[in-house]
This record gives sequence, C-alpha cells and structure tokens, in this order.
Amino acid sequence: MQSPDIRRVVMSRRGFLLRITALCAVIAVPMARWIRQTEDTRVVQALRGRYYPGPVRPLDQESVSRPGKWAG
Amino acid sequence: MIIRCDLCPKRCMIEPGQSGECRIRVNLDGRLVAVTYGHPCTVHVDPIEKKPFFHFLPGTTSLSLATVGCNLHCKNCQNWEISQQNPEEVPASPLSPAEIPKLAAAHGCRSVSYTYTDPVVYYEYTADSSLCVREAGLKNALVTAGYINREPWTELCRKVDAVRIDLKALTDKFYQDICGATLQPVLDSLITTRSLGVHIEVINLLIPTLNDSDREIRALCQWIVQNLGREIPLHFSRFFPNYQMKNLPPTPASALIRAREIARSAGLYYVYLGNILVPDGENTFCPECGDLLIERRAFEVLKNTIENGRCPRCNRQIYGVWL
Ligand code: SF4
Ligand SMILES: [Zn+2]
Repeated sequence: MQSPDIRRVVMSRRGFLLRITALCAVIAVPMARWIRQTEDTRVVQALRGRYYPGPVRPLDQESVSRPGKWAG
Repeated sequence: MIIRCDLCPKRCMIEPGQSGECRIRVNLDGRLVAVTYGHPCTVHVDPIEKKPFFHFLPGTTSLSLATVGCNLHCKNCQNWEISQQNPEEVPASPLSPAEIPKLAAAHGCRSVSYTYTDPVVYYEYTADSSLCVREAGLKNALVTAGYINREPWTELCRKVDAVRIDLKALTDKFYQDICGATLQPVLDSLITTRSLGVHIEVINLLIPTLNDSDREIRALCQWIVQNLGREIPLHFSRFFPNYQMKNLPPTPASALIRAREIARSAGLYYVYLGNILVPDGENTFCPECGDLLIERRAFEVLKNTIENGRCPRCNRQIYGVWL
C-alpha cells in the first residue's frame, strides 16, 4: 500500500499562521467594533424622564395619610 | 445605538426602544432615560419602624414612596405587583422632588423613605429628592437590597442619613437562584455605607430550608460583626409564602428565636425579630447594663428612655440617630 504524501496532509507553518490570523480577524474585527460602540455609550446617570409611560393620576391625599399596604 | 447602563452590577446592554432588567431605564433615541422620574406609584405615611428602622428617629413617621421597577427578581417578593411590573401597567402620580419635603412636613413626618421597590433603580429621583429633603431640614432613608455599583452608591450615600440593607443570605447561590443577582456587590455596598458613616440597619428574611441553617446564620452574623461591627442592628424577619414561592411554609417562631440566639452569641448587640410577635422580639436593651431602653409592639413605640443617644442608667452610647 502506498503511504499518502505527507506534504498534502500536514499544514505548512505559513499556512497555519495564515489561518490563525484569518480566524482572529473574523472574531476580533466585529468584537472591536462592538466594544468601541459600547465604550462610547456607558451611562450611570440617566436623563430625567418628562413623561410617564403609564396611566397618570393626581396624588390621592387621603391614601397618602394612611400606612402603605406594601412591605418596607 | 446600544447603551450600557453602569448603575448596577447587571450592566444591561440596552437596545434602542428597550429597557434594562429593572424595566424603568429606557434607551430612547440613544439616550438612557429614567422614565419613572417624578412619578411615584405609591406614597404613604408609615411609622419608621415599618421599614424596619429601630435605631433611627424611633416613634416618628416617614413619608414613604416608590416608583415601579426593581433590579432584583426575588421569587418571594412581597411587593411584586409594583416591583415586577412595567410602568405602562401601573398608575403613578406626578410628585416633583421639590414637592416631597412639603408633603412630608404637611403630614408631620421627620424623614422621607425611598422604599417598597428599590431606590437604586429610580436613582436620579432619589438623589434629587434627597437634596430637597435635606435642604428642608428633614432626613432621608433608603430601604434597599444594595445591589448597585460602588461609585453611584457612594454618591447616593452622601445625600442620605440612613440605609436599611437587605442581606438576603451569605451565599452567591441564594442570590443567583432566588433573586437573579450576586452576593459580592451587596457586601461591598454594606462596607461602603459603613465607611461613609451612614446609619445602617440590616434585615435578613429567614426562609425555611433556603437560608435558615445554623451554619448560614452564624456565618452571616460573623460577617456583620467582622465587617460592620457589633452595634449594627440586625432584624430577622419571618417569611410568608408569596408570589413564586408558595411551596414553602411560614418560618416557625422557633427558627427566629434560634437565629436571635446565634446572632447574640456571635456578638451582635441589637437583634430583632419581625413579622411575628414573640417576647422581646422588638425591644432594645442596653448592651452594657441590660436595661430595657425602647419597648415596641407592632411598629408602635410604647416606651423610649434613651436620652441624648445614651442609656439613662449607665450612660453608654447607643448606636443610632436619635431625636
Ligand atoms: S439599573 Fe436597571 S438598566 Fe441599569 S444595569 Fe441595573 S437593571 Fe440594568
Ligand atoms: Zn445601660
């Protein structure tokens, strides 16, 4: 039986490095873009909202004077 | 544009038009907006003992408010109808920070408590209101799980007078499984609060089989003694089946009494039992001479002999903010 040509099976050093570089680029480029995007938009303090998104009612003074039903 | 909220350790990445996990910090056109600002969903005059604060202006009332939303999702939450809801579903009332001290004074309150849900998530409203309240000569109290990043927490602590932190357990597993959070940031908040000299009281809800073993209770008490000090008041509270945790029974009185023994033997001076009536469960004794200083029953102060923050019998200073 004839043994396979070892040069076809084993990757050359150059080929290996090229593949690794390509793989890194595929992962790193979008990641760097994502990191840069989020770096710019880190926020601790939010803007004070002006409009409440739910139903708004005037404060019920009668219920304010009574202890709340909630814990705490 | 995606925004990352750095207020709490969740560090939510928020897409445009979406909110963070707490439901009330929303990415509107690339800007983070606190949508419940100036709109509490509940406002009440409570005894300060209900928070519970036992060493902070005892016998007074506190204007207590909350907006919807929370950054934790505890399976046993007693206030889930406001903490785990979207603002779109819960009615709220306009109340600006400047109006809060006026409302508090009109009702004879000595303080304002940011409570019921978690003031961490309505951070800007709490911070602005605290400044107005302080300017008016009243005090500010936070009732929180303390799940917040160090920098904003430090800033908030400088504006308030008292913090009641919920230390739910001393294991990360409990925080992850039951609350969707982690332990370390809570411990960091406790240490930061103490280092800033803000009055602290700690509460621990004892839930059968989840955090009530002697070993866990002892570890929790020892942590408080070593990191905060023996004088920090610790409240053990009784669990009742609720929300997504209806499969467990209420905490037996014997478990609470045993927890108090463990806490006292760990060296804590002021240990209280809440949500249950047991002998001396809510009373304050002098750690030096053993005199009964404050007698309470169900949020009511029946007797208070503390004078200028000291025991009238042996003159020992008692930890707290007194009238
Ligand atoms: S405060 Fe709310 S939006 Fe901000 S990180 Fe925490 S859960 Fe997310
Ligand atoms: Zn004494």
